[in-house]
Amino acid sequence: MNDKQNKVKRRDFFRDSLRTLLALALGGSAGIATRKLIAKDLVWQLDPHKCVQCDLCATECVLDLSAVKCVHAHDMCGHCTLCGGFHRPDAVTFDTAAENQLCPTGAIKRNFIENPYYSYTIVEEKCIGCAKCVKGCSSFGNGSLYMQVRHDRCLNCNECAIAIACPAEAFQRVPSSQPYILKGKQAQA
Amino acid sequence: MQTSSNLAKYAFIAVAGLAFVAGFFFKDNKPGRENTPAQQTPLISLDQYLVPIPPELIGYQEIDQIETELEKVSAIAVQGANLYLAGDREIRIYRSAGSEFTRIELAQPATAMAVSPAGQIYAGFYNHVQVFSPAGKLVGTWELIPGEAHITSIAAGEKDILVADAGNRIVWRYQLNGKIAGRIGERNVDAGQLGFVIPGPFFDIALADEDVLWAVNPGMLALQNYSLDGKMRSSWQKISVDVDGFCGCCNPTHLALLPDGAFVTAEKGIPRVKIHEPSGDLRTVVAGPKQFADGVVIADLAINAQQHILVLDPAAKAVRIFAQK
Repeated sequence: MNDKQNKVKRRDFFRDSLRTLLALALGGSAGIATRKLIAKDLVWQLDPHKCVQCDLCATECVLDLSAVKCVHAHDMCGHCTLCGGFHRPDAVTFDTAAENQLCPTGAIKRNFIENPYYSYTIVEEKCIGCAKCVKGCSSFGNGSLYMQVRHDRCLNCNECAIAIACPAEAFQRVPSSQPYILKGKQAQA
Repeated sequence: MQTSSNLAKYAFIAVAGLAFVAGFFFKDNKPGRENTPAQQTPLISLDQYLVPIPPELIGYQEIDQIETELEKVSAIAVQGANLYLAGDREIRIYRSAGSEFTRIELAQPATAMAVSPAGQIYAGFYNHVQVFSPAGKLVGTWELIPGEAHITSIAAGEKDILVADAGNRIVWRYQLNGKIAGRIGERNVDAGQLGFVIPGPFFDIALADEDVLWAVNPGMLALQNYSLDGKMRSSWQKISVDVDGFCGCCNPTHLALLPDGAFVTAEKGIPRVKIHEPSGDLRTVVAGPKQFADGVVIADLAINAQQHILVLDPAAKAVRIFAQK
């Protein structure tokens, strides 16, 4: 008799199963929807501390001219005469001659400050995001040049083509209220 | 019956909640990084600038390694038969190479270290110096260096302790009692001294004898010689990507002096250790870039009593010992 009472009825089994499925569907959909809602306030950015200066930012972006540009933490810069980010390591002279520059488009402007210091400024319109200067600065200098997604250009694609290709997994979603991952004193502000 | 209904309700809510969490953290394989593992994508390197070092130029070979198993190594020094190693929050004193060591616990990682001829240990911590007795007992904490100090190197003589400060771009001259007695290498354009150009935390010094200091001016790719009253006596530089020069804007990163006045230098960017004649000409190569991990920045150099070159390699987390072939 007890066995008969304890036996799960087919109807109960189907009812419980349906209930569980309904709970899973409702909860799961709500979770995914909430995530998507939050994601609307997120933008793509690359972590300069993970960046390996691989050159893919220049070629993988869906834009003709990449949304990723070199930026400069001026307060970190050594303002050297011979700049590892500006000059080719095998530069013959340490001037602004094209053959001595690392940048293929001449996107870094060099100005004399006082002997022996120079300032280096990125001309963003010319920067193609190849990261050659960043590689030179990181290897020989102190890493004051670094890459960032510029949000005046970035389309904030759902699937960022550079993020897919990035070998260092340096791309991440960040809140649109803090869209940059900065270096130097700006990072501490 | 009522209990059974409540139970079902709670179960429904619990399952829905779990599903919500699962949905929120659901990994939809975007942006698909799993398909592009880092090791499959070749990274650009500075190989194009690496001039192969002719084998006849390499005059040293690695004969031993002292594994440290420390997370971050920062400085080495040799005094007599002892090897001193600073890393993480400790200083180790090896009484003989590779053997057991005694340990001095530190409150924070040291950024520089030196040992005086009398065996006093001087440890730098960004803006101050602590002094330890030869037995490892803390005997003094010196006055703070003003400004944005970053101590990168210490040279300890019998009468003076010189402290290289990359933040203030100056060498501080301390008396043995810890009082600051002078400043070396200050910028004075009228006197023809442009000062130290220091783009990063690489600013090494070494005492040639009791009153002659050699300092690296990394932004100028130069080695400069100062008297302890602060005046520059001489300097040399060789800017070149070739093996006989220094390239980039922060080289050489480290310096040690051989008894005959030759310079042992370490470089970053193209990691290599070389020996230059007192004139600056290249004498020989101790270790080339292929002997170091890609992108490694050598942490320090020292020379032991047998005139072996000791290289503190942070990638290997070891003191690598090189002897003449």
